[in-house]
Amino acid sequence: MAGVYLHIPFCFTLCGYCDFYKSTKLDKMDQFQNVLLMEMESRSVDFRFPIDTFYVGGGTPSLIAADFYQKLFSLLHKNFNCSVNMECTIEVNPDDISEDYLHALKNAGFNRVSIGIQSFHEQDLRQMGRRHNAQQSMQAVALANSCGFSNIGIDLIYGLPWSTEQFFEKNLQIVKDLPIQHLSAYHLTIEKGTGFHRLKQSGKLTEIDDSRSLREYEMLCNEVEKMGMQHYEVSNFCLSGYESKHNSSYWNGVPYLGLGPGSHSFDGKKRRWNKSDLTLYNKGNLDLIFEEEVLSEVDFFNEQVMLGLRTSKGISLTEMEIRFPHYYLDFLKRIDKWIHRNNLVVTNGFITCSESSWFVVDSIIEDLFVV
Amino acid sequence: MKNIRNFCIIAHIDHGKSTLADRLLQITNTVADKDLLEQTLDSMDLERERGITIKSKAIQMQYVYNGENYTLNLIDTPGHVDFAYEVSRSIAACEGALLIVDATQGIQAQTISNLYQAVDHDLHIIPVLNKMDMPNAMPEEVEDQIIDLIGCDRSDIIRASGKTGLGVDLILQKIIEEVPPPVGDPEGPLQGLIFDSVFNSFRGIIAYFKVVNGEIRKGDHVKFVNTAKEYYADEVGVLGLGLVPRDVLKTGDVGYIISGIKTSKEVKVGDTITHVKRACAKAISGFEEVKPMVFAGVYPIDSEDYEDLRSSIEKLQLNDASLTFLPESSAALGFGFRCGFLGLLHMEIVQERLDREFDMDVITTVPNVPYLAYTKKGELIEVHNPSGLPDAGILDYVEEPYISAQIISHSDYIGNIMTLCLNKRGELVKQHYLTTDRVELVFDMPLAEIVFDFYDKLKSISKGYASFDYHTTGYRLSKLVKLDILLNGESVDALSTLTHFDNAYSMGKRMCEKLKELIPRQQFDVAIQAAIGSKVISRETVKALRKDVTAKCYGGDISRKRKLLEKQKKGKKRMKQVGNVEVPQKAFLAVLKLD
Repeated sequence: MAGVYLHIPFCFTLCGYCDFYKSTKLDKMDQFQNVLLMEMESRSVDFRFPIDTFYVGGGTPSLIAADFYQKLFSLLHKNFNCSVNMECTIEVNPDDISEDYLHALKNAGFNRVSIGIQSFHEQDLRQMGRRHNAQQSMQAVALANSCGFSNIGIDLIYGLPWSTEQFFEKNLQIVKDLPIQHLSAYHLTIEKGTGFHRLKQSGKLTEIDDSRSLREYEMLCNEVEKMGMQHYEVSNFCLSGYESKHNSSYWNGVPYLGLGPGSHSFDGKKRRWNKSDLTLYNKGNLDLIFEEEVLSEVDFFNEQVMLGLRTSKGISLTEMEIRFPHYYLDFLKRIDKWIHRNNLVVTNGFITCSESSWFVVDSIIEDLFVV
Repeated sequence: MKNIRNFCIIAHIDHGKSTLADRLLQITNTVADKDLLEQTLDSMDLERERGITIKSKAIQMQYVYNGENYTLNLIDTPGHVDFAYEVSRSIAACEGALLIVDATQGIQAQTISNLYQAVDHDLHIIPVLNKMDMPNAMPEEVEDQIIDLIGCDRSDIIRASGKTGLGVDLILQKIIEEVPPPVGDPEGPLQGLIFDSVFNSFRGIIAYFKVVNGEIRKGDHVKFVNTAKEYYADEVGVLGLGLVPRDVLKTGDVGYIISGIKTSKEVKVGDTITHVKRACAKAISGFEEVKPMVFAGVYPIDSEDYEDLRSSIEKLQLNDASLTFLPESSAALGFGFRCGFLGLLHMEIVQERLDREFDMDVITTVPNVPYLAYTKKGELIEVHNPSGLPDAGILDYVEEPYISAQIISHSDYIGNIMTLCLNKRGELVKQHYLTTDRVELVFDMPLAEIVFDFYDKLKSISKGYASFDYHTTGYRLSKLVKLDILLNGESVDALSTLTHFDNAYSMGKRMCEKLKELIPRQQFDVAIQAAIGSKVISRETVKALRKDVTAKCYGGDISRKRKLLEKQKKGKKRMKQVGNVEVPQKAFLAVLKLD
């Protein structure tokens, strides 16, 4: 099992919250596409895993015409051993998708779309710097559905300083009636280097207090449960069987190949990342664009703890015992405290974090780390 | 004997004592220029950095004057109030003193108290106005202060500069002409006054002393009178830049003795050396056991380092006899030691030396002074830590140590200083104008009140100008209470303090507020309470952490998030677990600096 991720680092405009690598210099797009195809071909030589998932993210992948993706798919099939049921996702912006475009993406090979909706309120969208409006938010899902996509995911952001719990609740009420199978809902995080961070520095934006954050999170969990969705990762919900296989592979330690500037790869032993530098990338010298690190036993242990506790599946005790015999006993001792406090639960040999404790899971993870 | 001059230097910190001393050493060719590490006398790194002398030192110089050869012994004195007793013994070994005053700053409190000691011992005082090269020197004004203080003539005051060498020849000339040679009976039984000791890892303890009467030879069988211990003088000698062995030291000489002593506890400053046969009739007067006046718990951050800490403190004690320690244990901090210090500076120095010389990371608890507790049965218990205070049921009354505090300041700040001292339970005893705008204030104050942040506050309210000195005067009745701090209902012994009843409420409140700032939010609410006995007098709450989660964690986030959490965890390694509450190390210290 393995995945391939493509990073499209272009955006028409920048959003205040986003800290993914991207550029608005759209004139660099043609050369980027050439190098990307070259990189895919080149990296396939060493990445010999059968491919189960393919994911195009950004930036804004929907800025690129569908025929490019057609080329990509033929190259993908030519160079990799792709499984028949390969999950193929593309992230799209609501205002980029027309019926034609969606059909073309579907014909190219995509069978899953992830729509960057973020909110159904005009004010939220304006504040976040999104290009689309509330009406486009509503229509996007219907369009994808009518174009024959049966695996549709949307993104929402909550915990917005200028908004209220009531507005978020309305967002959730709208989501309830949409024909979607997957929902990613992220609490706003103000990351360094973003527009919001600059606003925060200058005192023009203040993060909401913890108690409101928690109330919105609890509302989210309750409402989504009513929709019949499962909460399978801290920020991810889906109808049964519709987990994002690609994203799950990140959490399950499955290898993945990242292509494009700023993308990350993992081959089971080391983590490698392409530098976030479009100019360098476009020069096409593939030996110079990346850095990498080999993971130590402790690194693996900590990753396993961090990623496992973020999913509803949890951490397999058997796997921990086999992979980390030196750290296992100490680990058992340390989880004890959290089990007593009802933050962690052990069922059928798996340790999981309870839904209510997911909102403070970082401090639990930290406590269980080996440093 | 008539060509020996023994003198010390009395100066305030930063008044240029060490620089001027270096200049004397250069002119007398005691130290070659190339060996003149800046400020030769301050040999500890810490001393050089802080610009103060922690331990006193001595050095011998040879100087030819009017065709005659003179031996000059300079006995350096510590420059801080914590070491007042050592100063007094150094002074007792001299016949003269250089009074060095910074021409840009004028007389300071420390200078005055040491000067009084020198005058008490009938030392001849040579006043020196230092730092005359500075553009902001105000010689006339400072000379007025000196004249007012010691009643000399203006012409007696030497204008000098350690930096340029101005006046240094004149200083040497006056030492020879005006300081009387030592007096004593060369034929009498041996009496040597120990004024300092140092530890040498190869040779053991080296005691510095002055031969007051008689003489001592290499190999002599000697006795230290106050400790009643006997030794053989393996080596005696004088103090050049290093140790210079001699066969004999005669009356008036200043030198050293090495006699196989392993620990500094056996060598008490102020003790008398005499011969076992033909012993002196009595010891030189003025000997005191140095008693620690500040006590604090010292604990290893990592409880596994307890034994290392013990051996580090033992090694420190080898050359710092005034440091005392006893094992102590705390529910919050594990095993550690109750250490006794001469004062707060001494405490800081010990802490810093533990860190620098032994790489020991320690937590120091809130310091307290020694209290005398009398029980209803009439027993006397000396209380060195909060847990040592007897239960209210059996306790009759408590006494606390008092000091006479002397403060010298520009008269502009009198009001602020008065307010500060009165708030610290001080009583004004004396107010004296040294000049029209410099005033000396003397207060009777509880020692406990200066243990906390007094000196910092004094400096800040006087814009750094006030100088401060104190000596202990005895014990007085006190309304002492034990103030406990509880975290989630559990008393944290390491945060308990002994405090005067009148201060307890405000102290409790401020401690709770400070701890609220310092204790990070945890998975549950943390109640911080201050209590006297079972009565809670203040309360704060650190609200539970409600949100601590990374929103997204995909392929590109994994390494970064892992490293971030690892870094945070490393930061928390320095926290102590108290009950179920994580308390950062700095919380134990910061309560010392309450606003």
